[in-house]
Amino acid sequence: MRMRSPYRILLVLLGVAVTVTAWAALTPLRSDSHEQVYVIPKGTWARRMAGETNLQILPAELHLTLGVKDILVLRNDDDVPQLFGPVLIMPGQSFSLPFARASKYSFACQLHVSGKLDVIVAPHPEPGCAGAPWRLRRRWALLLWISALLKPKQLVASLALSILLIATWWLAVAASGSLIFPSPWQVVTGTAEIASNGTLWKHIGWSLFRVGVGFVLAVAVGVPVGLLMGRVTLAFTALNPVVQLLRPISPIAWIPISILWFGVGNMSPIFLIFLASVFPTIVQTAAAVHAIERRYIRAAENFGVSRRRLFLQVVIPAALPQILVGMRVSLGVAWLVVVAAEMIAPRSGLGYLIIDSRNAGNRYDLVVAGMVIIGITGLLLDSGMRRLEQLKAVRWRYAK
Amino acid sequence: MPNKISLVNVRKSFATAKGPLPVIGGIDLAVEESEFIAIVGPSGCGKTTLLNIVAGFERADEGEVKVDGAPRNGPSANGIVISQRGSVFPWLTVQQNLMFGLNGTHSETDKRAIADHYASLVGLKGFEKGYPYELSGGMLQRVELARALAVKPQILFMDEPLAALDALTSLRMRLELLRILAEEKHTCILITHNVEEAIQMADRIIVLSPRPTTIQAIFDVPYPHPRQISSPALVELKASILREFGL
Repeated sequence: MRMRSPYRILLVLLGVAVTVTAWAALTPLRSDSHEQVYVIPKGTWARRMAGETNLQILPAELHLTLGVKDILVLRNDDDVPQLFGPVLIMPGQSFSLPFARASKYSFACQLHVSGKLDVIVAPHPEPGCAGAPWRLRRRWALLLWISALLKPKQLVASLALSILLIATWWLAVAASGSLIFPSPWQVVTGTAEIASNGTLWKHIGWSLFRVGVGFVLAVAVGVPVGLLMGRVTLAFTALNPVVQLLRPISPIAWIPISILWFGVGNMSPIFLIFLASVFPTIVQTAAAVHAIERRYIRAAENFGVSRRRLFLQVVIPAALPQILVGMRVSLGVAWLVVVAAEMIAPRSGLGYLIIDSRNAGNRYDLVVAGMVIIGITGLLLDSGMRRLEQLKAVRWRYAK
Repeated sequence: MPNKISLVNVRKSFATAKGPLPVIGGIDLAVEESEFIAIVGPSGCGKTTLLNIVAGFERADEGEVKVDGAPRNGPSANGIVISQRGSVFPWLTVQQNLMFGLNGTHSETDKRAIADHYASLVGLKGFEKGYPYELSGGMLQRVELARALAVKPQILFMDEPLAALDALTSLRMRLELLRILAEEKHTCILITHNVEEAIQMADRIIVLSPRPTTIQAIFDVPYPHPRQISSPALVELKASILREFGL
C-alpha cells in the first residue's frame, strides 16, 4: 500500500483543528480563583485633583461570569478612601463582592468619570456550541501564553534555519534530477506510509525496548561499581585499568564476539548497548564520588552516623547530580549504538528499517525517514533525561 | 573540678617537599566544663590544625589530647565542628539537615520536634521546608549552628564561624550565639581573627604565636554578659591583646 498523496496530510491537519475546537468548546472550564481583582493605583486621587478630569481609574463596565469569575474584588492602593456604591473602601483595604445571579448591576462610584459603574454578570457558560466562542477566547489566551514561554525570537530563528536547510535540500534534489535521493516531501509521504501501516511504530518500539533493557542493565551495574570505585581505594586501583582499557573499544568492534556468544537474537544488540553505556556510567559515577567535598564527609563523620547512612544520605545524594549527567551521556551513546547493532542482527528496529529499505528496492525516502526518526527520538530521550535534572534533590548542584 | 579537655605538649608537623614543616610546637591547655575559650593568632599559625586535632579529625605527632579524661581517637558527636565554609548538606531541606545528626534512639516524631525546637531557637521558623541554596549566608550559618545544637554536644568547636558573613550579620549572629549559649551551656572553643568577637564572647582568650605555634599569652575575661565592648576595661583588654600582635 503506497499512498503518496498530500491530501492525507491535510486530512490529518483538519482532524487536529476539529479536535482542538471541540475540546475548547466542550470541556468544563476551570478557574483557580473566582476573584476578578481591580486595583485602584496609588496617586490616582492626586492626579485627578491636579486636573486630569477625564482620568479613568476603572472601565465603565466590569464583566464577570458566574462559576468562573464571579467575585469582584476592589483593592484600594491609593492613600484616600474611595466610594463604591454605599461602601467606603479605606486605603489599603480590599472590598470583595460575590455575585450569584446573572444581570446588569449599576453602582454609584467616583472611580469612573461618569460617577456610575456597571457590573455585567454573565451566566455560567453551558457546554456546547453557544459557549464555544467564549471558551475559545480563553483557550486562545492560554495558547498565546504558552507560545510566549517558548521565546518567540529563538523559535523564529531556529524555524527560519530549518526552513532554509529543507529548501536547500529540496532545490538540490530538484536541480540534480536524482532519481534515487529523495526530496523532503518524499520523505514525509514515506514516513506517513510506514506510520499508517504500523511498521514505523513497531521499529521504534523494538529499538526503544533494546535501548531500555541495555541501558537499565548498564545503570544497575555501572552505578554500584562506580560508587565502589569512588569510595574504596583498593577497588579503584584494581578496576580502573580494566575500565580504562575496555572503554575506548567501540561497541561495534564487539559485534563478532557478541554474535558468537548470543547469536543473532535480541540479546546481541542489548549486550552491545550495555557495553556502550556501562563504561561512561562507571567513570562518571566514580568521578562524582571523588568530587564530593570533604567538608560534607567530615560533617557526617562528626555526627557519628553509620556507614550505611553515610552512603545513603551523604555519598549518593552528593554524587547524584553528576551521576545523572553520566547517565544522560550513556543513554545518548546507547541510542547511537542500537542503530548500528540492529543493522546486522534481528529483523526489526530502526537500524534494520534503514538497511532493509536500501536493500529492498532502494527506498531511500525510507532511509532518510529512518534517520530523521532516529534524530527525533534521540532528542526526546535526551530532553527526558534533562527533565530529571530539574528534580529538587539534585537542583542544588545546577542552581548556582 | 576535672578538666573537660586537656592538651599536653601537643606537636604536629606537615610533610612537605622540603621536609617536615612544624606547625604546632608544643601546646599545653586545660579547658574546664562549660568554659568558653577563644583562640586568636596570626594567619596560618595552625589554629585550624589545632582545632582539628582536638575535634579528632587529625592526630597529633606527639603529646596527648584527652576529652573527659579519655584519649581522643577520632571525631565524635560529643564535639561538633562549625566551620567558616559551612557543611550544611545542600541536598537536604533545612528540617532534614537539622534531623541528620539525630540517631536511632529518637522516634521520627521526636526528631521532628527537636528539629522544630532548634529551628525556632536560631530564628529559622518558616524556613524548614526550604533548601539551603534558597537561603542567605547568615541563614545557612544558623542552620549549621542549629544542626550542631540539636545533638546536644558537650563541646562546640567553632572555626571562624562568622568570618564569611558581612559585618552587620556577623555582629547580629554573635549576639544571638551568646543568647543561645546562655540557654544551653556548652564547652566552647572558638577560633577567630576578630579580637572584639573574642572579648565579647569568651571567658578566656588564648593568643597563639606564629608557626610553629605555642601559647604566647592568656587573658581572662572575668566580666558578666552582656558585655559593653566600649567599656574602659574591655577597651584596655583589647589594647593589650593587640599589643601581643605588635599592634
